[in-house]
Amino acid sequence: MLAYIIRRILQSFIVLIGVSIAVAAMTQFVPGDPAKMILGDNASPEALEALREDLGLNDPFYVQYWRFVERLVTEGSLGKSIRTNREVLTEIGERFPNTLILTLGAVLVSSTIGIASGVLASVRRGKPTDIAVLVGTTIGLSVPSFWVALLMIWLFAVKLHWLPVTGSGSWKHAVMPIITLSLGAIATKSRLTRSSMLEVLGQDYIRTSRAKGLSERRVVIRHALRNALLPVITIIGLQFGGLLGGAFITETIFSWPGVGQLAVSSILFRDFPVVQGTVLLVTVAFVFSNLLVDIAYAWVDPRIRYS
Amino acid sequence: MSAAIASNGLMRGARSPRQMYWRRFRKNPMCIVGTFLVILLLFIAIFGRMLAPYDPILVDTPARFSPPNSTNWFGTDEFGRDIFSRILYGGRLAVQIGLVSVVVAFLGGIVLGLISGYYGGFVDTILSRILEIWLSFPDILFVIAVVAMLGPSLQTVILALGFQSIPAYARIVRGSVLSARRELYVEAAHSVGVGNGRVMTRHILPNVVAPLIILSSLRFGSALLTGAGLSFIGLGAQPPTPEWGAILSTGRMYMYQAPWITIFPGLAIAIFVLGVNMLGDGLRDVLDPRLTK
Repeated sequence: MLAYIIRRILQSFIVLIGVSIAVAAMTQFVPGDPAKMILGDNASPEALEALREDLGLNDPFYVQYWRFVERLVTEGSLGKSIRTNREVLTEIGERFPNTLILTLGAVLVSSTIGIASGVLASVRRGKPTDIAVLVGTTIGLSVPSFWVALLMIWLFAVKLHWLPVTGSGSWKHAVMPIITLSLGAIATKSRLTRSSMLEVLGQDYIRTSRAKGLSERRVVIRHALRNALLPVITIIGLQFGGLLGGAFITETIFSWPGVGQLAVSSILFRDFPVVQGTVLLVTVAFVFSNLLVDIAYAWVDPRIRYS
Repeated sequence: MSAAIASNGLMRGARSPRQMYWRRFRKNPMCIVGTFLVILLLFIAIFGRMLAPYDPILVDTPARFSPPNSTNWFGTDEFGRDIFSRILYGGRLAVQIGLVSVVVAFLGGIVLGLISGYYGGFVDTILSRILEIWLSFPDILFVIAVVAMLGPSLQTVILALGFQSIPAYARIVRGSVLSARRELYVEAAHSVGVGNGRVMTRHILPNVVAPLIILSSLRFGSALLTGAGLSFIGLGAQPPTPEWGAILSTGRMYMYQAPWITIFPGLAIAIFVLGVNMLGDGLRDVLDPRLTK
């Protein structure tokens, strides 16, 4: 187990080095002069030169990358926001907890509803419940979440006045963003749970459990679901990254002060250091969550760590 | 009787794979409904501009915020533009987003996957690490990073959506090539002097087409959704382009007085993504029944 964990940590470390190179290289791919892109066409030559010097754009890439890593490791800095002149890490750090609330809320909601509906569909295979879940998940994967968000705002905030339209500060503000973010994830988890349950329910040990006279409820929940949940654990980890990304659109709709909203507004304001910082940190969070899921998976399923 | 059974059995045995797939396709309701909706989308993409009753960007101030009526079926927006015409024009953009991004991913994935799987060794190690790093960016974040570099536009979003999907294709192709290159027929092809390029394209590639078709149909739908989502938050198509996500984006400011600006383009996206997803699910059942539970 320890050898497997060390191997996975080393792999993740290599991936993170690659990610940091890719993020640092973002300025290299900006067509034309990145300084001009950031400050606009009307900027004075002095301001452009100062920014180029500040961002290290006059140096070769390997020097830029080394400075990027050195500054991150020794000073814990990702540079300063062009818009606010504050540390990028401070800007992101203030907003990251808000994004985490939405993401974890969506993981919780989507796991609960997705797994429950998947189990229900599998034990009622071919019956109306199963068909209803299949239709529901197909629609859930097809309907644009941002459109559902608008319809929810119109119904629950504008018409019924049950929930606030936008902003943050109370649990009521988080309800609609979490539902919006959960929609696609519910459908994916429900389908995966259903197919995984059907595979497990056909196995010999389930037949044995039934032959022993165990109640159907006990067979499904204690015996089948435990094994069927293994692939679902993996998808929860993978979805965590997707949800962090999905929060970019949701946060913008609901003016939720998270990292996604910061990144989108930074792109529109050409605040490049903040965009780089957001991309780096969200990807690191994603890689880290995948690492944790892999370790959890290997812990519950010994076949993984020996393969 | 027995002769009838025997002849029936013979006929079944004689059925070609193409006939078998076609039979499964016809019997699959997901395929039928999905195909109908996809054909409708393609029809709108090709002929929508001819069928549109009005110019989609023509401002008609007196007609602003007209609710759906006999002249403006889906109503008008804040500039008096006909929503029905805008949606018909937007159909072509929707198909462009899905199709171009899938083609970019398909071609890029095939090239990288074939090289990685066929040559193996050092080339495979390096390409696999690059793909791993590529995949470590959460989907939409990769697109957002590209938009940040190249500036918000629909073309950038389409290309970024394509590049973002390349690793998913490359992995499938690589896996299939790794198992196929040790097969006897590949060895036989080599032994009669067939070159690497021809072995890859003529002998190995046809075996990976089925999973790639399934992946493409599902990626088409998700590209359409993500593309519309990015236009919705201002990073994709810019006004006055009649892209569905962009129409929704302006409509959200007038939800209270003119909900139709939001309802119809949202419905259009939902219906066509539903069609593409149904076709994708159906094709998976038809081409690879092992995956169907």
